[in-house]
This record gives sequence, structure tokens and C-alpha cells, in this order.
Amino acid sequence: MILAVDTSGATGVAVVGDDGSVVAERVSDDPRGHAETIGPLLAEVLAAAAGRIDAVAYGVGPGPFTGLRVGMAAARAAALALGVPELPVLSHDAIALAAIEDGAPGRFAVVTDAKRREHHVTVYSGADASGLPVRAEQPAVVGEPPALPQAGGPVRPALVGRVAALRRRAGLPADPPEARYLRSPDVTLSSARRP
Amino acid sequence: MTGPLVLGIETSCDETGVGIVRGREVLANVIASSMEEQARYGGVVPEIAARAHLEAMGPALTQALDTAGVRLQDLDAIAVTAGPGLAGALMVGVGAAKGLATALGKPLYGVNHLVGHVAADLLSLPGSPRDGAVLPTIALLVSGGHTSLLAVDDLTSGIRLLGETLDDAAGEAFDKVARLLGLPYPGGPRIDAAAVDGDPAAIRFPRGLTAAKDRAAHRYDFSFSGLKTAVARHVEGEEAAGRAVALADTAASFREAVVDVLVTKALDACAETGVPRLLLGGGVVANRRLRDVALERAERAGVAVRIPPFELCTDNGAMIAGVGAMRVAAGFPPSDLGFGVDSTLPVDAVQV
Ligand SMILES: [Zn+2]
Repeated sequence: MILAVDTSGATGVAVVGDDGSVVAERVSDDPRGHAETIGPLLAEVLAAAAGRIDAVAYGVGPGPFTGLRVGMAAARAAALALGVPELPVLSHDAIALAAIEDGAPGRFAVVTDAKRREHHVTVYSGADASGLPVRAEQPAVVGEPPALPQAGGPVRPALVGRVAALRRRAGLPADPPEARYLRSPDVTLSSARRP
Repeated sequence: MTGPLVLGIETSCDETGVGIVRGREVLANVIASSMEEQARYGGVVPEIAARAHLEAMGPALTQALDTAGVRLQDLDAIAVTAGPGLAGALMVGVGAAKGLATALGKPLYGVNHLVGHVAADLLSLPGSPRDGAVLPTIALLVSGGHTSLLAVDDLTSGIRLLGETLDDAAGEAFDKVARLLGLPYPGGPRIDAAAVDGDPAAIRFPRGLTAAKDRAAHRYDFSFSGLKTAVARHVEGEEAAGRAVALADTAASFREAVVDVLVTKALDACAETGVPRLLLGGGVVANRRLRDVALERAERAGVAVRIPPFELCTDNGAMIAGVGAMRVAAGFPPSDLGFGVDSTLPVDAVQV
């Protein structure tokens, strides 16, 4: 079974079977509070998995950085603690898989809010033989989404797990483990901390 | 030595720290810093620090376990800095700690960074046993992120904030003044080097919040922004007069002003509370002049000064593990898994 974590939007954790079927899934709607919520949610789904986790999948974004990092840090640490491999997943792939399973036509774009009046956009050209979404264009920050049918969030953690499971079953490599920030860091200096 | 085996995670500023202690003995203390990446900006950029924490965390955890020769399964508990500090940076550590704790089924303690600096004095590095902290004590914690004066009666519940900086932290003042003087980041060591042959009495820079009128409201508080402005005015004045800035004298005089205020207020706290002990902590303790002046003036005042080994003075995971071990040993229950970070966590909250 695969533990899946995604905090590219809300805080979501899930456990899926080797075929991607959902064993347990918990999502908090709190758009902040990632650091708070990740603990109780992980404890709940791990109890449902009863010690049978053999990989940890996690969404690498794109999404708001501060929350995104909480889930990535937690998932990587959990993989280390369980002694199992990490299976990073582009978070947009989970939205794309949901769209495909809902019957999305050929070419479409996954569009999520990138703040500052911009969007995170990944363009897909459909599904491959294993039912996995095929990226036609890699994720980017754009002002105007392309003129294509759109799919949007939220990212379901169980589908992050399913993408990882289907990929693993098809013998396909996981995504690179780095966060998809897509923007250079804001270089505002810290002001004095006043403890 | 025996005691609980605790792994501690620290990510409150720009250092990713993972430490492992058994009771008061440090088994591993791995510190990865993003200082080099910050250098081009002349200070700590929170987003760069947070990105660096995420990448450094896995390797630091693995290295700490290897160094300590323990397995995660052997741990009695995990501890993590819950605050104070930079929120986005703290969240990386808390995320990692919750991932570890829930996957291992181990208790998790969210603890106070400043208490960690004080607890550092309890710890012993391998091969160099120390007698633990002598309490009560006054503690002066000075770094790039904080400047705090504490009264410590005991480490479980009795820490009181006497005063803190109202604007820049002392380490930050060093960074900013270094920039004014054309010196690179981090400013502390650069100003130290520049000040070697300087006359600390050459320029009388202001000592913030030491005037008689400040005594009532801010006896133990610090302010360094006026000092920074005074250095800027001095540099401008010299340049306007067509003179070259006397770098050594300016650096030495600035540093003297910072050190003078820090030591004067700390020893005033010792005298007022009748506690003849002063603990120094935080990265600025690396500053030789601060140590020398503190030791010299404390001796005259009959105050004993304690300074933990340098690697336990800068931000590190061992001190956080140390607080965790203390909480476990004293029988405190773990933190609720739903705790969050608190960038302004008060020092009397040892654990969240
Ligand atoms: Zn510190």
C-alpha cells in the first residue's frame, strides 16, 4: 500500500492499494493550517494502513510554497522512518487523472491559482496505455490560461497515490523529488524576530 | 550517562539542525546552513531559508542517525522547534517531525527555541563532560534572530523574559553595519576582523535604551536601529568632508557600543535579581570581544559566566533534543499532534 500526501492546496493524506484503489483518505479544507493538520491526518490514515505501507507518494506542486513544503517534508520523513521509497508526483497529474477518469476529451489544461493574478498551468494530451495522463507541456506560471478545456483543483491525495501506484505498476519512473516552485524566491529580508 | 534517547529538529532561522541526545549527552549534532545562499542578499531571506531546510532535512536526519549509531526505531521521542522563529522555516521542521513521529508511532514534543539555547548549557559533547547548568541564572541570548535577556529559575516552568530587542537583533545590526562599511555577509566575523587594530573609543556611538528616561520602561530591552543610523551618519559625514572612513576605528567603536549595552544590561539584571550567574548563548557568542568584555566585567562584579561549546551556542538540533529529553524525563506528556508553529512563542511556554 502507498501512503500519499499532498499539500499543494489543502492538506490531504491518503492510503491507496497497489492498484490505486482508495483505502483511506482525509482532507482538511483549511487553506492554511498545513503544519497543524498534517499530524492528526497522518496518524489517522496510518492507523488504517496497519503497518503495510511500502512506498510514500507526495505532491511536489505547483502550489503555494509554504504549505507545499509541509507535506513534502512530512512525506519524506515518513518514508525515511518506514524505510520505504519515495514516489514524488506532480500535483497537477492527480487533477489530470481525475479529469481523464471523468472522461476529459483529448487535449486539456490543468489550471490552478498561482496568486498575483497568475495561474499554474500544465497541458495534457490525454492518457497513455496505463491510463496515466500524458503531459504535452510542463507546468508553468502564466497570466492567461490557454484556450483549452480546463480542469481545476482541489488535488485529491488519493489520486496522487493512484498516479504513483499506476506508474509503479507500469514500471515508469517517479517525478523528480524537488518542489515545483516555478518562481524565484521573494528576496524580502526577514525583519527582527521578536520572541 | 543514561536518559531518554531523543532526536531534535531545529529550523527556526537559516540553520537546519538535527541532533540526537541520550539524556544530557550529545550523540550527534548535524548543522546545515544556507548562509552562503543568503550572503548575496546581506541577510536572511525567509523563502530561501525555507527552501534550503526542505532540501537539507533528509540528508541531515540520515547523517545524524549514522553519527549517533542509532536507528529511528530506538528513539524514545522526537522534539522539534515550534517557535519562536520564521514561520515558513519552522513549518518545514514541524512537517518533518510530524512525518517521523506518526510513521514511527513515537511521541512528539513541540518546544521553545529560546529554552533550547538555555538547555544547551546542560549538554555534554562526546569526550568532554560538563557539569550541567547551575540555576538560577540570568541568560543573555544573542544571535542574528534574537536578542533576549532571561531570568531562569528552572527549565521546566521558570523562565521569565526580562527584556528583548525592540527592533533589530544584535546579529542583524552587525550584518547591516557591515553592509554600510562595504563588508560582506555575515557581518559579525567581518566586523571583528576589521576591528582588530581599531580603537574602540575612537567614536562614541549611542548606547540604545540606556538613558535614565528609558530605565523605567526598558531597563532590560535593547534597540540597535539608532546605533545603525549613527554609523550611517558617521560614514556620510566623513565622506562629505572628503575624508576616508577609518574602517578599523569605526568597526571597533560600533562593536564596542553593541557589546557594552549587552554586557551592561546583563550584569544589571544579575545585580538587580541577586543572581551571580550569567549564561551566554546564541551565535553572536562567537564574537571574541563580547566574550572578553563579559568575562572581564563579570569577574569584577562577582558574576560567574558560563558559555556552552560554540557548536551548541549557534542554532542546533541537539539543544532542541535536549529540551525534549528533559520533558520526557520529567514525565510531561507529548504535544498534541495538531500543534502549529508560533513565530512569537513566549519564552515561558517551554512546550506547546
Ligand atoms: Zn537561536
